[in-house]
Parts: sequence; C-alpha cells; structure tokens
Amino acid sequence: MVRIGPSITLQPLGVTVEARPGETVLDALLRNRLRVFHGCTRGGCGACRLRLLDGAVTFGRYSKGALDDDERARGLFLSCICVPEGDVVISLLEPHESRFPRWMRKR
Amino acid sequence: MPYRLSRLGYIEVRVLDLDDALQHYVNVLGLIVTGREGRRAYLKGWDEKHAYSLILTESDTLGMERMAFRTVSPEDLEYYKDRLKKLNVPFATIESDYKRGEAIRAETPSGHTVELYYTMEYTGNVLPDVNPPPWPMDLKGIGVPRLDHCLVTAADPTKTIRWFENVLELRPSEYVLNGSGDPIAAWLWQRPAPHDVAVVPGPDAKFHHCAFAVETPEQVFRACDILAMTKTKIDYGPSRHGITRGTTVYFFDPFGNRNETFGVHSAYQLDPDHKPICWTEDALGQGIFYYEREIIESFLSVVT
Repeated sequence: MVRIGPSITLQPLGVTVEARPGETVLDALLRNRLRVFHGCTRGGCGACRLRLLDGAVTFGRYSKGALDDDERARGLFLSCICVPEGDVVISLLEPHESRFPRWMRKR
Repeated sequence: MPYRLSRLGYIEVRVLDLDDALQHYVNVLGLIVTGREGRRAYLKGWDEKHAYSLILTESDTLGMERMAFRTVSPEDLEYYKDRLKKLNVPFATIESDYKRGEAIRAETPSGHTVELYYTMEYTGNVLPDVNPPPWPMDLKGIGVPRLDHCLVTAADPTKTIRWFENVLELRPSEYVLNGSGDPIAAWLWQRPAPHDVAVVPGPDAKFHHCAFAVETPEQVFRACDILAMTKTKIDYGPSRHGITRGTTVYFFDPFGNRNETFGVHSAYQLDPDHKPICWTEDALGQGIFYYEREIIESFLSVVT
C-alpha cells in the first residue's frame, strides 16, 4: 500500500499508525483505536499531552496553561492541536507528568 | 439569616482570541455584546437587566479570572466589609469598574477571586418595559436568557466550601460527603435555585465550567442541534444531573473552556430552611450523570 501520510509510532507500545495529511496526532491515534486520554481537544486543558521522542510536530493555537514553555522545551506537546511534520516517534507520559486526575488513578 | 446576595452577577473568563471567542459566545450561545474595550468584551443574556454578566478577556491562558456576586442592597455590601474585617479575611476595595460601582475583592482558600458589588448600570432586558412579548424573535444560536452558575475546583474542597458558607453565607443545596461526613463537593445558593456556585475536588484556582440557563427540555435538545451544526465540541450530554436534577449539555468554547446550558425547568426551588440533600462519595457518578451512573473521563480531568 502506498503511504500518503506520516507515520506515528507510539511508545512504549511500539505501535505504528499512519496519519492522514493535516490530521492531528490525537485524531490519528483515535481513528486507529488507540484510546489515549484527552479532553477539550482545543489546546486548552492539557489532558492529551504526550512526549515527542523523534521528529517534529507543528503546533496550532493553545493555552500556556495547558503546556508551558518549559514543558514544550522538554519535548511535551498537545496531541489535539499538533500535526506531524513527517514521521514521528512519541510516547505516553510518566504518571507525574500526566494531567490524569489522581482520584481516577485509584479506581 | 437574611438573603444578602441576589445572585451570581458576572464572571470574567480568559480566552486566547477575542474575535473567535465572540463568534462562539454570540453566534452559538446567543449572548449579546454590550461593550468592548481593548482586550475585553462585555456580554449578557437577553433577559438580563444589568450591563453584563460575562466578561471575555484576551490572554495566553484560559480559565476564570473572577466571579462576582451582586448584593441585595448597598447596605449589604457594607455588611460584608464589616464581616470580612471581623473574620480577618483580607480584601481589597475597588472603587469602580466598567459600568459598575464599588466592589470588594477577596480570595477563596482555593485561590479563586470573588467580588461583591451592588451597583451596575441598569439597562433593562431586550424587551420593551411596557406590554412586552414573552421572548425576543431575533436571537442568535441557542439564545440563552441568562448566566446561571459557575463551578470551580479546589485541592481542599471542604475548606473552600466552608469559606463560601462562613464568609459569604452561601447556603448548601446539596453535598457530596466523604466517609468522615465532610463535604468534598457542594452546590451553594442564594437565589431560590440549586446553585450560584459549586465546588468539586480538583486543582486549586481552576475553572470547571460556566452555565447558562435554558428553559425547556426541547431547548436542551435544540442547543445540542446548534452545537452539532456549528461543529462545537460537545463534552457530555444531553443528559440529566442527579444533583440539582437539572438537564444539561456540556461543551467547549473554541479554546477549551467548558460551557454548559443548564435546564432550569427541571431544577427545584428552595425555601430558606432547606436542609442539604446529601450524596455519598460512591454515588458521585449517578449524582453527576444520572443516566450513565458513572463519570466520563474528561469531566473531572478537564479544567482550565
């Protein structure tokens, strides 16, 4: 099959999916049944934060409250508003970096 | 205890772009712009009789800048100045703001800014004062009549709930109680309606949602239609709350702040001697989402 979009490899699962041209990382993961945690999908809440291990993504508009400049410099990105620029390798976050609420983790 | 606060008067919400915000709050929610000054716009629902109930402010972050309660009388503002002094609650006096008179400003233990004021320019609603029709025919979008309530999160919700009760004398309509019998979530009122403000567990100083009233079940579904037609991201609904009994749909503004249209038709009215309805922590799911009986993931995790 001819590939038309960039590939997204999600660690630590090691699963690779293909994004459609212009599609956000989150939309590509969800369309391929990878149910990563997400919230407002507007760059506002930070629920969908992931880490970029290799490659580059283009950011859309987002709130500095969802991702501050330090976090962005450390490779975190908002999957709901970021589009891959070519093939990327990304990973889920460590629990302490995630916005997944503590009370839900206990369940 | 007399009623000294008449309602939640206005809230200020941060947005990333004012023009895009107005596209949503005016054309989707149907609020009316009553003023614009620099990075701020002032809006209200069609049935509100004062200058504004929502301030949108352009910023690089989201969330709620402040919530303000209107006192029943000018004397009640003086009452609260004395009360805050007596309770050693620090507050600032702000002489005036846009189309508004004096206010006092204090901070909740959770870091939320609360103002109390009495004077704001009286504009009347959009209907004529004499022989009015029941509603205006030229509304946009959902056409909400008014702001109803807001919900905030607190790391120590019990402390913040007690602050609203002890300092502002808000009354609890409903509690969620933990095993020790302390409220970890509360719906607090002054109008005879289930809540003007609610507090749930979560990070300090964060904004969960602001809600606008709709009057009938049909209007909740109509709101959902409009949200879908305008590709507005729906968070949850249409559905029913166990707590407050209100019908609901939650959705996001273009930046990720959560809005609600709250069906006031199904919410109850209150008497002054109302005793709070209590929910246990394990029933929180049905308390919030009555039909699903469990909380969807994004509901308590998405705050701005």
